[in-house]
Amino acid sequence: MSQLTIRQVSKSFGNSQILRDITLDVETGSIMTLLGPSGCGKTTLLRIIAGLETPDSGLIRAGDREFVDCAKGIILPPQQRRLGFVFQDYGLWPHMSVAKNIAFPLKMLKLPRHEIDSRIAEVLSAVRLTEHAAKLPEQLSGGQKQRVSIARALAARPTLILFDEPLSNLDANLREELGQEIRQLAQQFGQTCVNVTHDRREAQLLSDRIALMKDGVCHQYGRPEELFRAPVDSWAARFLDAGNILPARVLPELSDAKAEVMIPRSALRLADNTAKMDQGKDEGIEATVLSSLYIDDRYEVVAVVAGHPVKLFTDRLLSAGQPVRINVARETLLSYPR
Amino acid sequence: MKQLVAGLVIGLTLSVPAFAETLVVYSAGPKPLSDQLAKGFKAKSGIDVEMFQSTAGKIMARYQAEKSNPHADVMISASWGHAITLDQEGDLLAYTSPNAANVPASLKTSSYVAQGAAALAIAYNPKSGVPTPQHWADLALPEYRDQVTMPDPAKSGSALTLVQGLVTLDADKAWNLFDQLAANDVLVPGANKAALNPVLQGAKSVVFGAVDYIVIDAKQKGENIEVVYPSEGTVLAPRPVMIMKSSQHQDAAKQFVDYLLSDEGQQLVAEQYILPARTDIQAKRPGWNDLKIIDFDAGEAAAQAAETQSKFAEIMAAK
Amino acid sequence: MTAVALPARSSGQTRSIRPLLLGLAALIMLTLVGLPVLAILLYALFPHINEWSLAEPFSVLLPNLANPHLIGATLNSLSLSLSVTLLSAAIALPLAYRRAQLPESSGRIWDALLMLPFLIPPYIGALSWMQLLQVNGFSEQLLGFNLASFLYSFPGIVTVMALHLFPMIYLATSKAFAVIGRRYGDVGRVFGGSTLQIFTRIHLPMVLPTLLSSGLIVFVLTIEEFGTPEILGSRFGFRVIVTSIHEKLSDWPIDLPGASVLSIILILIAFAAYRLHQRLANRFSAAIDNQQVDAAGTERTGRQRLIDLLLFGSAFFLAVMLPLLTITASSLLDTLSGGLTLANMSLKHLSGLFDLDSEAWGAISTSFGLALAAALCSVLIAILVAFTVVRLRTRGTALLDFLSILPNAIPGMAIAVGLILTWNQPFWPVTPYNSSAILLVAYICLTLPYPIRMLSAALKQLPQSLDDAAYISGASEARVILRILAPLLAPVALAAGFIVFAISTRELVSSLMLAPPGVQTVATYVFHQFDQGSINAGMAMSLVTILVSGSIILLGQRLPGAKIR
Repeated sequence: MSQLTIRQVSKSFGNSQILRDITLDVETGSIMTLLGPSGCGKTTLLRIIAGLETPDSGLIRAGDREFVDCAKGIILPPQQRRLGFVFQDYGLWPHMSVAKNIAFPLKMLKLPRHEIDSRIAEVLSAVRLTEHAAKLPEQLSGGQKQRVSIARALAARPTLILFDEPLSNLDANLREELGQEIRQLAQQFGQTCVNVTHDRREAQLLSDRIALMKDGVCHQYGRPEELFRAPVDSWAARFLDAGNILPARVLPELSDAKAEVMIPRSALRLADNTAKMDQGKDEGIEATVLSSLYIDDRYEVVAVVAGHPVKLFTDRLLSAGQPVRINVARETLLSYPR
Repeated sequence: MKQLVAGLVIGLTLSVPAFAETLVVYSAGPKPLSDQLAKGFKAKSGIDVEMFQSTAGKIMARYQAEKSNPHADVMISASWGHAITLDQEGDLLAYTSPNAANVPASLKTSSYVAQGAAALAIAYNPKSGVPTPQHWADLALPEYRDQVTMPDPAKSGSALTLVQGLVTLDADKAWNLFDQLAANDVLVPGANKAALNPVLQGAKSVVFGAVDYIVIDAKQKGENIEVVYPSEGTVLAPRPVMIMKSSQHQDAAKQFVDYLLSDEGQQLVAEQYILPARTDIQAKRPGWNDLKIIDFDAGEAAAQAAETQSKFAEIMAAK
Repeated sequence: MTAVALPARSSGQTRSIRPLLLGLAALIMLTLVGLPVLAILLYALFPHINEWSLAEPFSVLLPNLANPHLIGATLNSLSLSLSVTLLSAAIALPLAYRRAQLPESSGRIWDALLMLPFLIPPYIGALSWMQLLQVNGFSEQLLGFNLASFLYSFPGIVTVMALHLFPMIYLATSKAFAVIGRRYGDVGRVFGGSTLQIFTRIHLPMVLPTLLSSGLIVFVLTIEEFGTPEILGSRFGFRVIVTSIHEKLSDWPIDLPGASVLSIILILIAFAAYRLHQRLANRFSAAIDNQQVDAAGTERTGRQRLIDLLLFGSAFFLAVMLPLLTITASSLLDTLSGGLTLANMSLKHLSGLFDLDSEAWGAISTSFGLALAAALCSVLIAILVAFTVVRLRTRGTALLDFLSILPNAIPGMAIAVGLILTWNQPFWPVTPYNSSAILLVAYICLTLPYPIRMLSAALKQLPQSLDDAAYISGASEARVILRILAPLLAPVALAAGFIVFAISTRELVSSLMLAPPGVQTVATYVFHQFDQGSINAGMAMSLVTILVSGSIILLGQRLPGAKIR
């Protein structure tokens, strides 16, 4: 079942059209990420869902409630949408303690005091900050602040939680950890989430579905693995950094010289015996090692093939400038028209 | 604070004009005199006086700005010129008080009358070591170089009157004197008080054209300052009392003018060392018989005021 | 950079209160500022509008503009304002820069002390400088020298005015330096920049927007300032537009329409300055990334401590102590001509104020009550206007923004005339005119620019996400303003309130014009003493007022809400 329905939403500022005819569905209990470069309209779309911006046309429905129906002139103000929002800069009110920050939306719902207290306790324990309840935001670390922000969003049991680059202010280790945590919390509370990011890694960490956006339109939509395995074109492949992109002519057996190809990194293998090269045997393509770095149990090698850098993984130590041969698993290649 | 809140509340509801007999008087000081006159008149007639106390310029400005909905019943200015202008515009109610019989003809017309007058004089600080001046022209002498101040005729009505008087007496001699004063580095710093203060403070020594009652008052308070009335004569700066035609309380206003010119009202004027308008009231300072007054046509002088002011300014700027 | 404005046309159902807030802000600003300014404009065009007649339109326009002295006065006004602004910035910048390095405790004391010049009315300040430095002045009597030739010169006026106005720039830019923090300077230092290079290349450009906006206020305040040019400038024939305006109002003949025409020139200059400021600010504004502001600076060395002490100490001595000591000495002198001798000293002027039936007490309580009310109202209005201008940013807010600076540019005298023309009309069912309330209206009108500028700047520093988070939580605009923004703006609001309070207690010209019959304020009391009483008694009153309002401000700094975050 779809918890959030977006139909043909468009928006312009002045002469520039930010969003054109966006149509998306987000299933109940899933996390959908709007991924794209800056200026693609993803943040505007998120703010339109939140009610912080008004679209020029289109329809947005959450569950059975109409958020926006431009045709009927319905635009629900943000106050009545019952949403949660997690901001890149946390958006915590500096003059309120952690508990008061979380209590604020609950008070707006006019919940009874004991209910407020029990919900604060529940979400604080879920984000492991119970002992920090009385602290002011300035006394917390960045990761803790973002967990408070998440707790505040969860506490009101909203229709939907919106995330605006929730991990981008955090350092790498914390990012992975908090990313996992958000997924876990969303599952635990059965929350439907929409997330916005320009960072593919953040998208991978947080998404059940990804909508890749470009120039105000939805460029590609699908599960993360679908997008990363089969980017719809070379722009998507490049933006997602889904693999090595080379002109097709680098691989002589590909007849269509006008095409570009994407070769997943896992499809590249170093030829076993470099010694064979000296005998002139035609196995794999010729390349020269540019750099080799040891990362996460293996070497990440950048080699130059016919003037184009390609990245692959190996467990052998290579030195810069060393000639190598690379085997390509052709069945995983994707080719794109230019 | 309570008072204030109450005041604000009352103030906001004050838009309704007061129906009780209350006379609104705009007066150009001196403040103690205005207050005493208000008190005395109330005791005598039972009529309240609301006194707006400011400078001559500001009461005129307020009157002008209020014209579409006037409030003032009576105005007491320090500048005869104001009365002339308002009379020409037909804003004044004609009234001759029975108490004005002993006011000299030059200080009354059919629609305004002087309450009193200041005389323009030389004031000097005896501590400063300059010789005692006797004549207006003395101040152009080298002994007084860089020691003389003079109120600006553009900012002080009394100083304008003095220039006009001296010019009437002998135009060539007067303008020549101002040339010489300019050459003698006379300082023209602003209105009356701005000219007097440097002399009191010792930065300068002599005022050319001081308002005498202010100087006499200062002397009474212990300041080192003396007044000299040059023997060739001086001018008066009369303080006109006017009843506004727009007044809704004309009878009360007439009573007030009568009171100002009564023995009691004139005594209060005398207390401030101002020359009472009535010649039969004893002044507490050199009186009508002690002063040699230059006689000139105030109306004609007023018509040429702008010209006189700018000629004076040119002379002073040329030094 | 998420702050994209909501379009004005968002449907009534969604944001019903937003048009309401905008309307309320516009209504208040138009009533308080727009109407009197419009009245002045009309008066300049229709010289008989005071009699409710449109006769002889435009008849005073040309004769006044054709006055040959006008060009000189305009040039003098411009060069004076520019010089005062530059000198104020030169005094304020090193102080503000070092302020960010001071420990918070001593920093706040200096902040409070450097706010004191606001308390000294400009005309009292100018008079006390005169008394101090003139021939046979206090300095000559005590130390044997006078600086009369310097005081009565263009550099002299500029110095006196800058010493009075630089705190405006200091307070604003020191806050900006604090927001920038030390990081950027540290980066510069790592790349080998010298202290001076780091200051001029890194810090200066970053505080430039703040510097420009506070500089704009100093500029228009100088253009409008009457007391100092009148008192010092008249000594060497230095005429500015404001002194010309006052000449038209000071004695016979009174020329209100002419004064209105000249006021328009000031409004135009202020408008030009405002536009120039906006263009410069847009060009130079740098977005400071939203990182944590590092709280404590590094330890200062002993030498730096000494330099800081000298720097702040000498600014305080020149701008506050010298005038205050002179005022104190004057208030203790029996007679002006007696000089600064022990025999001439007495407490009679000071004790005279404390006679129970003296008018002084009435004047003090009237002034302080009005100033308190003005501070409260101005700050509340300013919060509303700042929110409208900064957060709603719909069409029309630019006009609000400009209106909010106008009262700084128009002489108090002209505003007073505008207020009379506006409020002394029989058609108003209720009017503040002819009651103390008109003084309150005048003070609010004249002081509004300060809290609006200060609160707008502070609001721009608060991330939009704080508002958005509250809206999404279900809070209304009113609740966002009251529960979220107001507490966060409280320290700035308090500081702005103090400035309004200080300026209202000493506002002279409009009080002289507008006070209803029988009501005295501190300023009119002092003025009447100067005019026809004793200067020393006037100085005594000023001293008491400065001390009392100074103590109120120092006490206010200790309020819990005053904590600077």
